[in-house]
Amino acid sequence: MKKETTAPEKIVFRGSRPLATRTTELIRRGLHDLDTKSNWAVKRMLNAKCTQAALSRTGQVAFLSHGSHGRASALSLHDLELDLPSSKLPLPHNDSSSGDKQDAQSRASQNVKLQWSQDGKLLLAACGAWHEPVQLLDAATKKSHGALKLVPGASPSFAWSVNGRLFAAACGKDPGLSVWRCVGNKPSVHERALATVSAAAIGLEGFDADVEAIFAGFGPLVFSPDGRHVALTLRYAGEWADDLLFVAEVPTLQQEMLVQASGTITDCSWTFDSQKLIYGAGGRAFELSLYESASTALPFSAELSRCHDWWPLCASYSWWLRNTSKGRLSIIDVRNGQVVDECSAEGIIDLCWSENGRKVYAATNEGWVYVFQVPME
Amino acid sequence: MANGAPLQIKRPEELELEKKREELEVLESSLADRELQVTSLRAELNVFEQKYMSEIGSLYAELDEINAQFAEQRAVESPDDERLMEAAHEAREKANRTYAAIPTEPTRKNFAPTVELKRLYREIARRVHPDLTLDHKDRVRRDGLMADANKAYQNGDETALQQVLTNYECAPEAVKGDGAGAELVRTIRRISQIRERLDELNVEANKLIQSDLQKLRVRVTEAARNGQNLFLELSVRLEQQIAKVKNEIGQGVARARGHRKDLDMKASV
Repeated sequence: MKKETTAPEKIVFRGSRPLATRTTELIRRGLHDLDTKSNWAVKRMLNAKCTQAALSRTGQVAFLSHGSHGRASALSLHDLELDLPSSKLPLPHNDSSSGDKQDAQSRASQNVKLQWSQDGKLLLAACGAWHEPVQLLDAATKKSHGALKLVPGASPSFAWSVNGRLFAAACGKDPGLSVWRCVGNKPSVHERALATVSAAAIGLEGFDADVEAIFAGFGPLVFSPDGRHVALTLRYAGEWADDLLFVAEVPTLQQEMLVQASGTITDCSWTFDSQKLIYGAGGRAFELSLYESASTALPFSAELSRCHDWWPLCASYSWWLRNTSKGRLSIIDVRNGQVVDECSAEGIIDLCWSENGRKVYAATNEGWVYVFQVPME
Repeated sequence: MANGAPLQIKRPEELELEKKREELEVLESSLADRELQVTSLRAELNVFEQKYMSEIGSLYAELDEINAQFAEQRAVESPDDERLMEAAHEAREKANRTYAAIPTEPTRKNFAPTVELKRLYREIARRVHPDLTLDHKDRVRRDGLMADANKAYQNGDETALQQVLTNYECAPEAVKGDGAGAELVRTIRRISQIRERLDELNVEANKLIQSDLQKLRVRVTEAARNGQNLFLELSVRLEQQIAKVKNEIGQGVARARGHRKDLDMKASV
């Protein structure tokens, strides 16, 4: 069938026509489309490049912005829901004796770890270069809430359990992973840990003797929603060295599973029923069943992933394995791997479901936050 | 008079002329201000429109193009369905219309006139405005100068604006005639012309303020104050829609390939 089509390249512009009359239709379309409801909104919270971002379930975001041209890094706190002015959070000084303290602080900010408590009231900030390396910051008073007596090592990880009663920290090769009780929301790390397991003890079992790999720190650490398990990523440096995913019972930290991933594990998250772990490795998403001890590849890619607390949904961000130049933020039905909703986004560095489960927040490395609103009927 | 100075007696037309000149001066000042406001608004809207067309309009063009391709694909799949044919034709026309609306000229980043630029423009509008003369020849000349001034102002070109003013001041037409009666009539007519122009400017200003473009601009500006980027939100939505239609086109292509494979297999059997 011969169709009557005109290739767009053949269209001749009428130069004399004023712009406004040509574009009126498109302006009206824009106004109309702005009035139609979308599940996605984008907000600028900070006008700066950020090395770290941490989103709380209560709708707060902490950005650690670059310290360029000799300026020290800054930690700022923003509220995504309330029209509150942003505020600065105090960062401790470096444990540096040289005069070039600000530069050192700027470099150290690349290695700062941020983690919100489950109730969104405390923000943990850790950096080996600080005099007191693990700090608790109070979101309400914007002041320090004291330091935790922990030595974080090169690449530590921290997590509160979903009910907020337990706190886990993975700091260095030995003691490795430890679990403590919390008093209120504050971890009682001055008391004896409920259980401890060294990284060496975990790693020895997980490796081929042929592969030469050096323990390089910890990746994501997450409690299962039912609080009965904790999953921890162990990173190894060296040619052909893949990350390990360690799953242990809580609070005994007795090993349940140890799985070798293909490549670097960029994120992991438990499904709502605490039965499976969804993790991203080498750009692909994998599912690890608690009862099968084996990973299966999922039909979507994910560098970051966060499962919903009670719905079979997972928010994921991916920028690899796509034929587009931009990354994609997706909401995925974990039962069948189908994308429920998605939008293009760049530079996402943290993802989080809101406390009431109705929203997803995604923070970028340029101070933007994408907000997905779950359509409810 | 004790010092022998001649007695100054003002005739009624001279008194009236004085009053009218004062009135004219006030109106000239208002006209200059209003011209400045309207020209500024026009220029700001122009810059906003270009930004919108380059960031959002281009996505609408892509969406309409991809929609047209999808509609054509469906029409090809069902060649006997006239409704699909018509839908494909309409989608193609819409895509062409949208594509034609995208400007080719480079986008200007911002319109932010300096205080000096505004002062110069206002001065030119006050002195050169075509509605300040009754002479036809002079009016044509002023029209040309005012057009140059508008262009220079919108381009933020202070030197060109200064040149317009110099050209006007140095021209022989700038020399005025005399005679109180005639001058009074000229002044009254100038006042009338300025009032007409002010009315025109008010109508144009209202039109610009109530335009969809200005409504959109106000929304985008207000949202930006609350940290929201409406252009980004709109582009996210449009990219979503484009990806969705592209996916549907891909599925259609796969369907067609599968169908061809089936036919080939049947033929080989």
